[in-house]
Amino acid sequence: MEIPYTVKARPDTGLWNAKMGIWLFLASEVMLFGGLFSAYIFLRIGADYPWPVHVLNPWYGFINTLVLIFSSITVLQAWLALKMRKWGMYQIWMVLTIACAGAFMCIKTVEYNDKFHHYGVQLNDGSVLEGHLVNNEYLVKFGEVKTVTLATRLNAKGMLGINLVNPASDAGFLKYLVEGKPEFKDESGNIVTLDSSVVAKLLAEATKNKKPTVKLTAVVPLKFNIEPARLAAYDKGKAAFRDGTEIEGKLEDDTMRLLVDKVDLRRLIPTQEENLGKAVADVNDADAWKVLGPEWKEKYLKHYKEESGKFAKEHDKQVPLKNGDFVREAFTMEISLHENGATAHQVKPEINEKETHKAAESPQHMAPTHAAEGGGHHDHPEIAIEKKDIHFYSNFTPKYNNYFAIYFALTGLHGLHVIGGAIVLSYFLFFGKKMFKENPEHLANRVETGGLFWHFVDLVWIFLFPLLYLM
Amino acid sequence: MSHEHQDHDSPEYLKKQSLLVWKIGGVLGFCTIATWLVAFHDFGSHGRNITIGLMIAAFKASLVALIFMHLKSERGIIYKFLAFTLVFVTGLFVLTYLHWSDPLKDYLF
Repeated sequence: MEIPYTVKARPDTGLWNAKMGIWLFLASEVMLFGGLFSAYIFLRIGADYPWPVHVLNPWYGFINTLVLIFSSITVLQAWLALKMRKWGMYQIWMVLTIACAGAFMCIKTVEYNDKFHHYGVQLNDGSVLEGHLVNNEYLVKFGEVKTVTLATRLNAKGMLGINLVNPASDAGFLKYLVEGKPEFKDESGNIVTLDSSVVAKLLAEATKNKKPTVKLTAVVPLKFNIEPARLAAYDKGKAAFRDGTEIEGKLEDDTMRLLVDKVDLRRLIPTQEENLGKAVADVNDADAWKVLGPEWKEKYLKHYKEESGKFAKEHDKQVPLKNGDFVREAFTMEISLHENGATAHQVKPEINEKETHKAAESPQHMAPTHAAEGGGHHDHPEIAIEKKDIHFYSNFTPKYNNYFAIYFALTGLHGLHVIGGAIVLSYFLFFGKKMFKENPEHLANRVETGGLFWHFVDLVWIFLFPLLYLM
Repeated sequence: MSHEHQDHDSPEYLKKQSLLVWKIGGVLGFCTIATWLVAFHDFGSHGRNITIGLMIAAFKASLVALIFMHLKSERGIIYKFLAFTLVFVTGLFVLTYLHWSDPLKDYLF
């Protein structure tokens, strides 16, 4: 069956059908993104924490904006080439458009990767330290582990046969074994070497005998270095994995080592506070200085004086604490050992090396060099934060705060649109030749439809760039 | 490109369109740089920066919609779709605003 009105306009609407369809679809897309933009405003207005401003590297957003604008031009040129029946030019412009989509997604991937490796650590008093984990890892270290208890789940079938929790232990905990062989004595005194098949066999046997656990004793004491995300809970002598496996031993170390690139003290100031002197007194005793050391506190106070002096000069009639820009500039500070850091107020402090690196265990920890977000290489001081001092920590993902939640929701959905648009345009490029020969105007109309969607994707980004990156 | 007028398919018209697209692209690029500069310039308050930045973004979006998406010369029925959608989108933003300035909340708490 031939689809009607693919080239000529329907008499009643005055439009060919696909154009009518794409505009209806775009209207629904306006609603979709409108809802998300509305959510962004809602979250920003209602935030009970300092809304992050200028935390993303604007270069990523800027370059991606230019890439999308250029791709909007190229897709139009491709359509115009088709209208002029120039197949070769059409191919060139379309390849450029799809290459732009690829470039956009590559930049987005690099940007997301930065977020996944950048952490914020909130101390018990509300001070926030931002930076990168040393060697990109934070591990809870257990030594002298003598007992491992595997968990079975009797009657493990969940609702409609779907288990919402892990049905039983698996061999995943063995991944974190760093010292010793996984040789154990089972409850009958037999020696077993654990791997995934042996674990499965032991659990199957226990389930058959309706035993909830399988207790294993290590032949030699073992050592585990475990990612905290894999643990449900732990104390000084025991750690429970999320799948129910428990190990008993001795907690050796759960200190976080961080290459700090920023200190943020804004949460220490009460929301209604208007007395600047009191606010400064509050941040003077911040927990951040206990881990960063007095030299950085001195640098911070100098930085604060500079910022408040600048503000007094430029805004003599305003209450400083009512000005979000001032609060952000004065109560946060970039931290870098590099003299030519990204910001003017970064100064190389005369740091006591032993003090700064006292927590480092291995030689590589003594050279805190890291590619900070922003592309430049800066040296950041390495600090050790004890677990008891940490109130909350996360990488810059939706878990960290609502800003990153809406950032990932908006840019992720937008990214999916870029991928979808690129697939459709690729189809027109690689499978359009036959239609071009038989009915070029039909192909031109198809490309126009795809192009309209592509411009909409560009249009959404035009708002995302300033809202997320610049404001 | 939307209308079935013969002159819209003439090589001269299409060449003019091609040139126009490049010009508009240049304006959009320039506006992107302006958005960046505005964001880091002190206009007295952050609210003003946001307003000016969004005004530039709205101007850019208008150019994309009117020129690149050809709304400038499109049929009336498409405007009707968009007007219908706009009512609901505006409603979403108004609801957000209503929450922000809830008189009951201000009175009771």
